[in-house]
Formats: sequence, structure tokens, C-alpha cells
Amino acid sequence: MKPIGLSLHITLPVIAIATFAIAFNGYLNYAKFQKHLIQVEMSRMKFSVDDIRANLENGLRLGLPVKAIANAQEVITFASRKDSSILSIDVLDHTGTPIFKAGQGAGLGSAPKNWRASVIKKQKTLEILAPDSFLLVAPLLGITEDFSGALAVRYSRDLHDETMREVFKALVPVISAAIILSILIGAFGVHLLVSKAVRKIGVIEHSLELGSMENSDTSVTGKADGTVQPALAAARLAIQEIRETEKALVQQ
Amino acid sequence: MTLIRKQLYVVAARSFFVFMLLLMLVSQAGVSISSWPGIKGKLVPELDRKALSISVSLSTKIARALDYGVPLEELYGVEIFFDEVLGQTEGISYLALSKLDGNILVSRGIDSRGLQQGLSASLSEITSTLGVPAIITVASETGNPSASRSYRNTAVKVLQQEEIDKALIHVGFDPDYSERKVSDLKYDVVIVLFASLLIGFEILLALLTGNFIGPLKAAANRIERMARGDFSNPAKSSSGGIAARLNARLDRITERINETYSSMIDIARGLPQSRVQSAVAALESIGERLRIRQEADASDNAKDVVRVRILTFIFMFASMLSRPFLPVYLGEIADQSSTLSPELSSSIPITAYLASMALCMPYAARWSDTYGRRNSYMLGALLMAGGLLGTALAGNFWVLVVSRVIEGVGYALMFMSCQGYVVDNTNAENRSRGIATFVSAIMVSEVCAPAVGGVLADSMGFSGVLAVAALLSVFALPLAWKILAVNGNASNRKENSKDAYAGGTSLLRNSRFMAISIFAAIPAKILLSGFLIFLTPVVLANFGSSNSEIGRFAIVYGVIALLAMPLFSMIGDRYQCHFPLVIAGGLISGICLLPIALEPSSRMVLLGIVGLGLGQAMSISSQLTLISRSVETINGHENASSALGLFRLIERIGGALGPVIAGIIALRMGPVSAISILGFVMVSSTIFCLLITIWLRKRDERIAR
Repeated sequence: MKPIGLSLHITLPVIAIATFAIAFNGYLNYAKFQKHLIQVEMSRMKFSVDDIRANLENGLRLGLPVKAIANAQEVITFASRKDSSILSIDVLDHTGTPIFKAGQGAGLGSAPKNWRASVIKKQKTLEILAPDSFLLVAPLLGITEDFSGALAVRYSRDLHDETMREVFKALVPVISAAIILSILIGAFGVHLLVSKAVRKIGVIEHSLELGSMENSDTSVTGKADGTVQPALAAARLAIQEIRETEKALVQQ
Repeated sequence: MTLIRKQLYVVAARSFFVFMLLLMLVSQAGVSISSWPGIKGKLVPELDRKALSISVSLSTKIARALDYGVPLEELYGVEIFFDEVLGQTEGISYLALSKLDGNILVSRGIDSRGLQQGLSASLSEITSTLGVPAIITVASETGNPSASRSYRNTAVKVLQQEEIDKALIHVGFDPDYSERKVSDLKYDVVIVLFASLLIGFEILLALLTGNFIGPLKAAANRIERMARGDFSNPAKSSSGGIAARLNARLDRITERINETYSSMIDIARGLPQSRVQSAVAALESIGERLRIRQEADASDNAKDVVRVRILTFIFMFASMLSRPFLPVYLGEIADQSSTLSPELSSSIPITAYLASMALCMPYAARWSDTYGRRNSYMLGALLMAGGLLGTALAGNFWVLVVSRVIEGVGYALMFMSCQGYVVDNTNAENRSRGIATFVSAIMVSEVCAPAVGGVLADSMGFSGVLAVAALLSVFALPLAWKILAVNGNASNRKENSKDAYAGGTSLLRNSRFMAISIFAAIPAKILLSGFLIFLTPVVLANFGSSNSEIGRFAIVYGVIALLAMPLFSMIGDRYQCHFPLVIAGGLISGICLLPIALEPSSRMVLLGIVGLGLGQAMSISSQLTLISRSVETINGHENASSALGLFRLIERIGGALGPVIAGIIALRMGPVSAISILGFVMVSSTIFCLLITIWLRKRDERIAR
């Protein structure tokens, strides 16, 4: 194999590994930041949802069903006006039927099918990052802490997407530069190392050529690379021994 | 290391490794270091929004109280209310209610004197930028100026009857909060960096072994043989590749010797009949000594076992990727479709996997011997990929159990194929080294796979990671096709493997063998699978650890085992203290699991993992040595390898039982108590093993007298 062939054979996977590692590192930075951002965003939204929920549960704790909460529409309308990032608020009864509604949009459209079972079972707010919005579904608990209904609040994810776009834009040049540099340095470095290795092997090959049995002149083989001297000496000795035996056989 | 090896490939290969690892290290560190400051800054606006939401909400609530006519100074329960809010919202350092002149009425989460000074100093800025954070400096309680800290203070007014300014609500965020959030990212990046270096090393090793080290090592072997006066021919001299010209030169030298030898034979044939016999004897003597026109020894033609390292690494990596979250994931699925308790439901699929793996190992070995390493490895890879994919997509508990069984069978096939390859290509002299190469690939994947799996699970979900693991198994197929291509079926081992368990019944009557198997090996494996694989993820998830954090915990076991195992192995051999090591290992791993009963925390789980790593490192190789010895000394006729085979089967059954036992205890007493109980069982059984062995020794001495 020629040095260039071997270089390519080693360089391509080396570059592939390095590129994959850099890209993975970049992805990790992006995904982890998104995770932390979502955590902070969800915790802010959950705080607001808990506020609305507490207002609604005041009525439920009096033993009223969801549809009988007199101020429910007022509470959710006020909340949706106060926070411009809220797209819609739905108050649902225990069967999951929307009773009160504020704002526009898909309501529970992006919630998983089993949202009700999940909310009832876990008795805590379901937090979903849907493709078009953040959706928080909180259980509304009645007088005996039982599931009396749910509050579904959809928040816009425009700010989130904008932040993530900025992070992406910040990461892409860094990652691209790192990949390009790695490719260049990797290719150049591997080629240098391969050339050096091939040169060394070439010296040994050359020594074996000089020392091969076509040329038994020890003044020539003496110049051979030290590492192959014992092998060459053994080969010479073997030939010599065979020839001497040959001579002895003929003379007999 | 001979000079020729150094010259030909050792120095060059080392340079390749150093260069490649440096390239990966520098490039990844560069990406992380240059992107972190920007990323960190992007969290701050969201934190400010959160502070504003909280301050507006608190202001509304207090305004409502004021609207009822309660005077500001006489508001009751604000402290409790603030404490509740602080407890519920991560990242907030303090909450405060102050008069309009900045005098604090209530503050929680911070020293009020320090905050008062800070507010007073920055009041004009705060009041002029209401709703927007202002940086304030708060002195420490001790008054030490160097210990003062800066906070982002977001203030809003409290309005009575929606128009009269009455007070200010202050919400303080520690700016270091985003720093702390990003440091979690730093841990992950360091873990991924470490793992990618190990993975890069494995891939480069495979690459260089095939294209560079392997052919040159073969040439170096040949040159060394020639130097010893051995001119035998390699079974297959490489016609291409890096060593092609070198081999051609060596071929010419060998050919020249062969030609000279042949001409001598011709001369001998031409001699008178009476002299032919003595001439032939002289020729044979030379030919035999110089090994002219002979094939090189099988060991010289054997494949480099390093080639199978990458295959071992890939399947182990694929199987261990899911370790940090598997019980939690299984629990989630089982939760939806199983009628059993969550603890049992999540342990059964793990047990099914370990049991199918343990029970299939003997058959997998035989299958691999009969049908070839490549076929069995590839079948194993397909089964494993199917099992992993089934686990990823399963929505039903029983589908999940079947998927795990299939994965276990795949694992057994791949494991035995790789181990078989090592056995095929080594002899008595270098088998230990070959096995060490195989084991080190397992250990490397043990170190990096759980950590990478945890990090991936945080960003792509459990099913995503399982799908990646399935893809990895499929990726192993073409590699196995290439690497295991020319490796023949070890048909002669078919009989050996048949015999492997033949002596089982007499081994089961060997008291020493059984004492070590039952009271040391089985509890150790129960602990490994029950604690590390099953309970650790469950308990850490209950403590609120993320998948990445659980992965980081799991990595500790691999690192300790990787570092300590060779050390204890050496100590055991040098001081012949294998039995004390088994006892010490059992006690350490058991005792380290006890303190969690007193302090249920992640720290104590970590202590348990460290203890388990150390304990297993002490006892694993010593157990094997003791088993071999007990069989050799008591049942001299028994085959030591068949004893080891049976021992492996017994301990793997222990491994399979681990999750179920842990699950049953966790069901009754909770997962934290289950850890302590497993530790107690380990300590008790180790003491029992010690007592039985002492008794057996005394009995043997009595019989000998």
C-alpha cells in the first residue's frame, strides 16, 4: 500500500471519529441547554398555573362542581390578559370536557391521549413541550382532595424557539470551525505520521534488499539497518552451511 | 519489546494514538470552552422573566390582603407564605417585602441586615427600574467584604385598591444559579469527552491493527524467527498492504535458502546408492533445524486477538447504554400494562434478560463452535438489535419481557463468539493475555457506556437511546463479516464444550467448589445485578437525580473495577492470598451498603458503588483461582475449565436472581432498605463462607493425620 493510500485509510476514520465527537459535543451543549431552559421556563409557567389553580380551587373546596364556579371565567380571562405569552386557558370538568375557555388556539389539542389518566394518577401538573406551544395540565382538586377537573394552560414557545435559534447560531460557527480544523490538522498529521512510518519501513526493506542473498558481500550487508542484522546473519549462515554440506557431499 | 518491533510499528502506532487523542481532546475542549459563556448568558433573561412572574404574583396576593384593610405592618403569615414559595421555586435566593423607602418588613432566604444594606445602597436604581432586575451587593452575615455576593433583584410595587403605592416586593436570583446549571453541562461534556476518547481509542486500535500493526507485527515475527534460524514459511504471506514489500523481501531470502536446499537435494539424489541414505539424513537434519520448506507454527499464523476487541466493545457498549435508566424505563412501561407491583414489574424483564443470557451461554458456546464465530456473532447481533428495538417500542409488559429474552440470547451468542475467537487464536502461553484483551474491551465499555447512555437519555429519551443501541448492534454486522471472515470453525472444540459440563455432578459434590459458588460468587452477583443494575437507578431517580447523574454514578463502578482489578489480581498472585481477598471483597462490598439505612442519600449510594467496585475487584479473579485450585487439589481428574464453566453458569444464575430478589425486598421494605438488606446478606454469607472453609480445612487436616 502506498503512503497516500494508507494515509487515507487511517485519516478518513480518524476524521470521522473526531467530527462525530465534535458534532456530538455540540449537540450535547445544545440539548442540555434546551433542557435547562425548559426547566426554568416550565417552573415559571407552573408558578403562574398554580396561582390560577389556587383561585379556582377556592370554589371547588366549597363543594361546588367545576361548572358552578362563578368566578372561573373572570379568573382565567384576567390571567390570560395579564400574561401575553398565554395562548389559551381551558378549565375542564372531571370528564375532561372544557367548561370555561379564555384565549385562542387548540386547547388540549397537543396533549397526549392519556393525559386525564396521567393527571389523575400522578395528581400533579403534566408538563408538555408540544411542537407549537408549552402545555401545562394541572389537576383541580375538590373538597376531599379528589380529581374534580383540570386546568390546561397553553403558553407560546416563540421566545423559547428564538433563544434556541440564537444558541444554534452561536454554536454552528464554533463547531464548523472545530470540524474544519480537525479535518485539516487530522489529514496533515496522519499523512506526516504515515510518511514517517513508511520511511522507517523503507529503510528496513532497503536493508533486506542489500542483505539479500543475491549479494553476499558483508561490506554491503554490514551497512544494513541494525534491526535486521541478526536475521540477515542467520540467513547467510544457513546458506553457508547448506553450501558446505553440499561441498562435503560432492567431495565424498 | 525487540528493536525491530519498535522500529516497524510500536513507535508509529503510539504516535498515531497520541495524535488522535490529542486532536479529539483539543477540538472538543475548544468547542465547549468557547461556547459555554454564550450559552450561560442565554439563561439569564428567562430567569429574570421567572423573577418578574413571581414578584407580580406575590404583589397581587399581598395587595388583596391590603384591599381587605389589613395594615402593611400587621400582615400575618407572610414569612410562612414566602417560605412555601421559596421551597417550590428553584433558583430563587430570597424574597422580601419592604416599604417604599426600602425598609424591609419581611425577608426570607437571606440575612436581612445584609439585604437591607444592599437595598438601601441601590434603592434609587431599583425604584427607577421596577420590573427589571437591578444588581445589588449583599454583605455576608460576618461582615466580611470579600464574602459579599451580588444578586439580581427584581422589584415590583404592591398597590392598594390598584392605585395607591404601598410597598415593594423583591425577588432575588443568585447570578451563580445559571453558572451552576451550566456546570451540570460541564460534567456531561467531560464525561462525553472521556467516553469519546475511549471509543476513539478502540476504533483506532481496530483500524491500526487491521491496516498497520497486524501486517507489520507478522513481518516482525518472521524477521525474529529468521534471526533464530527458523526459515519456515508463513501460511499466507500478505501480498498487499503496508508490509507487502517487506514480505516480498523476506520471501526472496527464504526462497534463496529453499533453492539452495533444493539444489543440495538434487545433488544428493545423484549420489551413488550407498551414500544416499547418509546424505538424506544430513539433509533432513539441516532442513529440520532450519525449518526449511515447513509451515510456520499455528501460533505464528494466528490472528491478532486485538481484532476482536472492537466487536466485543460494540456489543457490550450497546448492551450497557441503557444501564442508568433501564429499571426506571421498564417500570414506566410495566406501570401501564402489568398487573404486578411496579418493583416486581421492572425487575422481571431484567431477570428475564440475565437468565436467558446465563442459560444460553453453554448452548451459544456450542453453536459458535459448530457454525463458526462469524455466523454466531452476526446472528447474536441481529437478535440483540431486535431485542433492543423491541424494548424501545414495547408498549406491553409481556412484549417487553420477550424482547429482553431475545436480547439476552443475542448477548450470549456474541459473547461466546468473541471469547471463542480469542481461544481459537491463542495457545496456553498467551491465552491469559488474549482473555485480558477481551476483558479490557468489556471494562472500557462498562466505563463509558452507562455515562453516555445517561447523557443521551436526558436529551433523546429512553426509547431513543435503546434505538441507538440497536443501531450499534446492526453496525457490528459488517465489521464481524470482515474481522471474523477467515476464522474457521473450531470443530474440535465441539467435543470439548460437550464435555464442559459433563463433570458437573461430581463438581456439585465438591464442598470447596460449592462453598465458594454459593456463599461468595452467587451473593456477589446478586449484589451486582440487584444493587448496581436494578436498585441504583431506581433509588437515584427517587432522590431526584437526572439520567446523566445516574450514568455518572454507574461509571464509578467501572472505573474502580478497571483500575483495582489488575492490582488485586497481582497482590493475590504475589502473596497467594486469594481466599483472604475473596472474604475481604465480600465484606467490603456488603458493609458499604449498610450506611444508607441510616442516611438515605445519593452520597451513600455512591459509597455502596465504590465498595461494590472495590469488593468485586478483590474477589472476582481470586474466586476463579480458588475454584481452579479446589478442583485440581480435590478432584484431580476433573477438568479445571469445566469447573470454571459450571462456576460461571452458577454465578450468572445468581446475577439473574439479583433483580427479582431486590424487587421483592423493595416491594416489602422500599428500595433504600433493600440496598441495606442486600448488604447484610452479603456480609452474612461471606462470614458463612469463611466459617465453612475453615471447617473444611480442619476436616482435611484431620483426615490427613
